[in-house]
Amino acid sequence: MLVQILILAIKIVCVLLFVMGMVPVLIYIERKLIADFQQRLGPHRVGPWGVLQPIADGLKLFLKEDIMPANANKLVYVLAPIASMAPAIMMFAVIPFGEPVDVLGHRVGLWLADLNIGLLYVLALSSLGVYGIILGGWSSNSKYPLLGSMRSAAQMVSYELPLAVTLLGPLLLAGTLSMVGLVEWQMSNHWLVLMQPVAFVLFMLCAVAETNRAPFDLPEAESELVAGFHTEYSGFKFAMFFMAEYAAIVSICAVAVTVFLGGWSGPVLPPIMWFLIKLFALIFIFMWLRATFPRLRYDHFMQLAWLRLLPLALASVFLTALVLCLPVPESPALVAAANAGVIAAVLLFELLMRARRRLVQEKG
Amino acid sequence: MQIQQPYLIVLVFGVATVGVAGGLVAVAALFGQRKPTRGKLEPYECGIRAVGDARVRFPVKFYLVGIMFLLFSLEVIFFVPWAIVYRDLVVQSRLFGVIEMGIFLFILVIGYVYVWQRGAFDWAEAERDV
Repeated sequence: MLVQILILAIKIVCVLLFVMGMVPVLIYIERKLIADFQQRLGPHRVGPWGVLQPIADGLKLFLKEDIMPANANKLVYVLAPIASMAPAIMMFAVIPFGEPVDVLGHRVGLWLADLNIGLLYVLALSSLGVYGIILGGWSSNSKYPLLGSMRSAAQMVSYELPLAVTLLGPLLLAGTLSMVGLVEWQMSNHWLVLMQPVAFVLFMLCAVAETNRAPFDLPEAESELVAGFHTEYSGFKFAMFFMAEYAAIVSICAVAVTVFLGGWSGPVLPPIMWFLIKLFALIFIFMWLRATFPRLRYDHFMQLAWLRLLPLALASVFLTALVLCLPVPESPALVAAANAGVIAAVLLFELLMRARRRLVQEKG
Repeated sequence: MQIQQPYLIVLVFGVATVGVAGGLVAVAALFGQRKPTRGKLEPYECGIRAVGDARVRFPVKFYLVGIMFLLFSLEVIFFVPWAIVYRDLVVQSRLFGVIEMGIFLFILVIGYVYVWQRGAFDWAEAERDV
């Protein structure tokens, strides 16, 4: 009993250190990567190859003056960064990092808790993440943060729907909400991304929009809304919003790895290495998207969520369900083909609409 | 205590997270100077003096987006148990699961199309006043 509590305490400390430690690593990687994409050097002065840059930035923010606007709602103003950071870190409670190992005679799984509703827990926490943003913007009692927070919240909330619907596809196939169960299903069968490529792409798009990352970062864009909901924040509370954003990126990429890319499965290397490799590959894609695409206009990306991604995700789920009804032995090729059929149908429809629009314009 | 052990672990982890975050904010409040001047305490409005506070009416389209999210997310919640038991449904009777859920989805799609035609999805995000 005591050993189990000790093991649990060690696991909690490890996960907290992992998440808090990933934030400076990601900040550094992002700055270096984007600099590379833009053909310039990133930070290169502060440590060898600039590796101490995020630590220097964190220290600077820690020691900066903590300005609280005079007419801000004081209690909510202080609680909002915590409310933003807590859900992003708490998502790690269900994510499986690796296969069970033997420690001191106990079989210990490399995860904190194997909830049998793990995926639902993840969705619930991503919905809770909206609170921190709204509270931060509202309590600042200033127009830019208010508008930024409302737009950011509307965006996050709109993209949560397609996110949840795309996760229904893997659920149909695996039949369990438990994250460990999903990984084990993928180890016995095949990676879910092979059967649900459309759902994976939609999930990544929605994940980028959920975390307010470019090209969906209009609510944080400097040229539009100063700094959005964290305009009035300074010092460490600002750093916490920043950390919350990067922690959310790591969380949602970890969820994508677990659900679609097979979690810890892989041939030769130890399982946790595979998990980290896949995690960093997805995070690289996030940063690649940021470096490549211009920012979407606000009404465009709201329309993208409601009018394009949501119907597409629902169609993909129902096609998967239909394919599973067929009296043929189940094969990933069939399910993937059904998914690809959805994309083909939508592209065809879009092309037809454009052709029609062009005809109408030429006539008039 | 052993009944719902994973949930207990999640609770402990949640408390630990909030404690760590709160502790960091508290410690950071100890460091750092505190020299409030009149200029620093005013809300930021790009260098000009702010007029009024932010407790003004903001566009109702944000409220609409919230309501739409509520409706469709409740729909998604009904999809989740269906998806989990779907394999058993298929074994018992081939198309029953799809058709039944399809009817449910169809009823909601009618609502969705109605909202689309009424313009809640265009105006809610039109960049006119905001």
